Amino acid sequence: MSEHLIEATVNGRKVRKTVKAGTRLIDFLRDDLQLTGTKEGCGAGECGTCSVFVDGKLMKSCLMPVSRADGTVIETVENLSGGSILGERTAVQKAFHKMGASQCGYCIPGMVMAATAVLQDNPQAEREEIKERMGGNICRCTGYQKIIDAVELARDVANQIQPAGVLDTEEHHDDFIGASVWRIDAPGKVTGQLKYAGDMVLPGMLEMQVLRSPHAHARIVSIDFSSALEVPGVHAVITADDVPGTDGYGVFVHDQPVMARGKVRHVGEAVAAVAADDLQAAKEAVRLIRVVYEQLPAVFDTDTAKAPGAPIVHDYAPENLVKHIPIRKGDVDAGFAEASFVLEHTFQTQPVEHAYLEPEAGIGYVDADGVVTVHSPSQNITHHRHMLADILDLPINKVRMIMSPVGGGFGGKEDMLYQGMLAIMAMKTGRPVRLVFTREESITVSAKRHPTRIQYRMGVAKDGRITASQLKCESDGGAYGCSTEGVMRKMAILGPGPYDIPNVKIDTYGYYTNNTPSGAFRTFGAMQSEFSTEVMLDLAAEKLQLDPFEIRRINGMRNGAITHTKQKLESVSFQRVLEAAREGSRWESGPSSSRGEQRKDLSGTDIRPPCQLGARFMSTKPEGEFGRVRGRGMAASWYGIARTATIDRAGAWVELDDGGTAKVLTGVTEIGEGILTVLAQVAADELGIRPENITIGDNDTARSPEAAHAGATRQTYMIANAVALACRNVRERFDAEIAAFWEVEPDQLEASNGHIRVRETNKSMTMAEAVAVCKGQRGVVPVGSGSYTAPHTGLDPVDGSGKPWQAYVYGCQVAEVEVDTVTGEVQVLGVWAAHDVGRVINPQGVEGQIEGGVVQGLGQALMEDYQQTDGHAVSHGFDKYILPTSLDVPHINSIIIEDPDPLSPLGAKGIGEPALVPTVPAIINAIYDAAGIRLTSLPATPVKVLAALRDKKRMREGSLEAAE
Amino acid sequence: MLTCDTYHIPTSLPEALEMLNRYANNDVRILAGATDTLPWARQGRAGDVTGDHNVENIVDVSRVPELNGYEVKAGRVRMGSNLVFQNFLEDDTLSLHLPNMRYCAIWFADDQIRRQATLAGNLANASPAADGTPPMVALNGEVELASLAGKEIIRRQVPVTEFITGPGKTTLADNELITAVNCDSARGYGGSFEKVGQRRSLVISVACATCCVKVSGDGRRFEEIRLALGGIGPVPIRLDDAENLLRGSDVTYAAISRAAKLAPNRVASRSRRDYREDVIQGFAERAIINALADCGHNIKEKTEELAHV
Repeated sequence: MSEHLIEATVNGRKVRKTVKAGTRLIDFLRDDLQLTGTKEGCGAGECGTCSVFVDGKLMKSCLMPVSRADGTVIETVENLSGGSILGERTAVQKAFHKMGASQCGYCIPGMVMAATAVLQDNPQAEREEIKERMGGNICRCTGYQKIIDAVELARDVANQIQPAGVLDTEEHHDDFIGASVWRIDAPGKVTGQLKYAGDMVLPGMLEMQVLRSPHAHARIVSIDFSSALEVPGVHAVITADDVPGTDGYGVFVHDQPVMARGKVRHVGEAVAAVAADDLQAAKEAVRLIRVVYEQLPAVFDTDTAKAPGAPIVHDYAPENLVKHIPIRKGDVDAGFAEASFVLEHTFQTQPVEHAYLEPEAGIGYVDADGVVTVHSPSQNITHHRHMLADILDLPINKVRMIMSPVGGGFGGKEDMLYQGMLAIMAMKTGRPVRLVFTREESITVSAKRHPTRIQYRMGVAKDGRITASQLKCESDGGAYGCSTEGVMRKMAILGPGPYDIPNVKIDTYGYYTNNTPSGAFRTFGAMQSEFSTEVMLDLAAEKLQLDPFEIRRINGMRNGAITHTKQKLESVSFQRVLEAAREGSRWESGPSSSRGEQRKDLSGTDIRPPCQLGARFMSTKPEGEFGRVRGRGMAASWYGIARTATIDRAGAWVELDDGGTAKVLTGVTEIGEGILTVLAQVAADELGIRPENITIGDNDTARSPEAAHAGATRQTYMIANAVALACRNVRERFDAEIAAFWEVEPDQLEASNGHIRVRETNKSMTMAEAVAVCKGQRGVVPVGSGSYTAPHTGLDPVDGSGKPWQAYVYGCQVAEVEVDTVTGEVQVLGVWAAHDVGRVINPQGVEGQIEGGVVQGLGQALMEDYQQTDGHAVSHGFDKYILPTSLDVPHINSIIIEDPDPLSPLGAKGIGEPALVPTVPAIINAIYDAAGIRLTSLPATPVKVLAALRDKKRMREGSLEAAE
Repeated sequence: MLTCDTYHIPTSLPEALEMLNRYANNDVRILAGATDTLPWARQGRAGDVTGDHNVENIVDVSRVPELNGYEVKAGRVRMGSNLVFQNFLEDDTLSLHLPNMRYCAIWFADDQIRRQATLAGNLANASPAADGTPPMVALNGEVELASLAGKEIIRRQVPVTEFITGPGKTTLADNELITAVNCDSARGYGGSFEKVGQRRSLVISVACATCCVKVSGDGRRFEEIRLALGGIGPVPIRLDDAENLLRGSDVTYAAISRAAKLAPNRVASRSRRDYREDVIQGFAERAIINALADCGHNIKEKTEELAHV
């Protein structure tokens, strides 16, 4: 391989380096210059995480051969703030911070660069032009709204329409709970300084590469890696034979080996791994591993999987059944007999890729105490440590899992896909080992949202009451169990929606196949079943000529309702949420019978204009825009908070520290939602200090108490309560000492905003002074701990009854769409999203979750589809796996409802997952309202929409002919 | 990832052509914008088990000065093969002469990729979904190919319609380089470009249509019209039958509609054929109407029957 001498100016410095020909600018920046603010999200120019300026023009550095950079001037995100987190940030960076534009942060350096480029190219760019110019940068968390808001703010400051001071001022009072406190982790994200696992380098580190199965189902006859070991620089090759303990991991059933054992069950399954001095050697060695396979009959759909004689994926499950969850309430046959009509429809949802912008990555090493340590963006280090200790056959305290910053997860980083290989390789080589997935590897190997077929029967009485609901849901679980059991459970429990239904029969089945595994994905199965319920209700409302809100009002749960699992609910906010969405969206009452253009509530000021490309040179709507029709739809939802049908718990330690600061230690996973900021707010409020004076030591199994996983919308509910309890514990101890010092009673003390005082006296100290007194004069270090428990019960195996959660939230969304009847394209222009979140800790963070959830829902409603042919991924990159861009998203109006949880200290519930549940059916119902077509199979692509329109036209022509 | 044994960066056209001659029988790949080739070389595409694709020789033509710039001469525009899509958005002269190209460019990938991706490369890739091919077909585009015979540079002009022979297939010889793309100047025309994919940025087209139209001085008749479609078959299609129907006819919606009805007959795709047949008629109409609007002629008549609802 030839080499080239590159001379360039990078971030103002002259650089001269010899590079290997054929490497890319991104490799040069990240590997040779350690400028890791430039991220690799896809390596194919399809996401924008690697955007940099080359000679003043923004480019995607993964698409530029490095040889071309010779003689250029390059600027990376690091340069914007002078190469340091401590440098003065630009207006764009500050605006991103202020507006809450960063969540997981992985897209943010590229996004900040794109925003900078927009305002350079046109300092007056209007909103539509900003969106258009940023259309090459994908964000999976935020839904883009706050990002575009931030660019507009930076623009207005630059144009002196807004004073520069707004970028430095937080506009909230000193009650931190309920205030939009700025995210404490944003500065590291907007400057590109935060190091994700793939950005980390350790001395002596080896690079690992994985050989993956080309077959969907095959017996491994032999693996010969002798030639691989001959490659210079190779340290070791590992296979299933190198697993020292009990092989197997999985969120519910440990059926997945670290590397294929005896046979492969899906394309892309890990078969062997190589560690070498550099990536090139590791790849060369992978190419030399010879595996002899004997192909086995494979199964790729649930109908085949459950049929007698089907190929068996796992010996322990001869019927390929992962899990069946039944729920029975009342007598559905009696309910159907009582109904004035029974609707029957079948729905099909698609497999969906999480598409977090950070591909899986990690570093494993064995420390000087012999502790096997893995850094990775894991959503559940607690469980990973348990499983890894068994796999490695080590005492649990000899295994340490450290969460590296998570560049998006959405459930996809709950599976322990590669951490086992890193640990085993580190043990075998004695060296730190790093593995970074490519985007294609990530898509092909990681679990998807369960594609599900839902056969639905709903009996409805003349007055609109649902008399019976029967759902049969069959999901493709793919090759391994992952989270299928839990997904089936939540799909079942929540399936019929937040409605009071006397007779319910639900069966959910997850099957093994030889497809890519299905697993946890934001809403954990609830989205699929609730989607079908909400479309069914729209159909029922149409038949009865009822307003869709009205049929939900009639059936909706109220205080004291009995759920489908026969749990009695105390405080039910559903009716309030419905009303808030109806009012907030200016909904015009009327039946859900395709009112479309006749509606008077369309085209308000709270939607965006339809995207017409060319905002930078076209000011008026082009003429030939015929054939576009608008309409609105709505849907409601409910969701349970924290782990399902099992006891949930979280712990925290707190120390009031010198200077009136505090340390909060808890095994929390900041997955991008802003939980660290939430915890800082809670701790500040409880301790009486300011959020910026809180240091949160997060997720490390050797350094922080268990707080378990980022999932199940549980972090604010479980961990914020644990932190609140720990703070109260510390304050009890601390207040006793300070009270003794002042010779008053502890209950006379109050603390806020960095001061502690005796009520109704002028006795007061700063917290810094008080901590000094506590330690120096009383001899007490103020430490405390807290543990929060949510006592849920399991479901009865026969009728499914039980109390799966103690806190429930409710949601309702309205969507306004424009359907292009010429192309079949659907644009979502506006969404009104009303959600009960319990007590709000950070309104801006809640909005961020709602906006991001809505846009993930939009993607699932309209474009996202992970396609496989005989188990081989067709959409293995972001060229074919289509994600929403800034030009595809609606204006989102968040409506936050507070119905505090009476059972927990803070009263906060959650929003992470619930935000996206109603979006998909709201959009699908809106398409019907606009164009008169009912889509029951997701996603509603232009091809499907146009086919439905064609069918409708033919039917109409047919009926006209019949009439003649 | 694309890897290579040797990466060549010629700095003159003869040097580049000489390299092509030298490596014509070996594994060689010409790199211009690189925005298609680099993704192509990855896993699941042309990449191997590790996600790499190696070629022996890469000839990077981005620093060949003879391929830069453009000129307008005798009613034709000659665009050097290093011209990138962003030029169509940022260069007023190009917009003046190629009124459909800025509408095409705004639909093409994104701002960053457009700064690298060349029109010539788009033609060379010959993807049925390419955005750049229909506008060039509409404007009687030709690719200028050069090769070296001894010391002499041999050039030939090939119409785009003959150059692209099928998906990914062209008549480019192993030792040839595209040095320019030539097409008619459509100064005084209105232009348009219609495209549909699954989203609005970074869109891969399912189908597209482009039009350039010139109206008589009295605003009543179609003086000249160019219409082409992409994404509906293995190669881009010039709708000459529709053009003939409209040329000289009155500017009315009825005439446009009649002409557009000819479009679906031309669909030759094997996949999503129903969809493409449905979409292309409305697209052809929109392309004409929007091109008319682009030069100040608004068709006021709209019809409800167009909406297939």
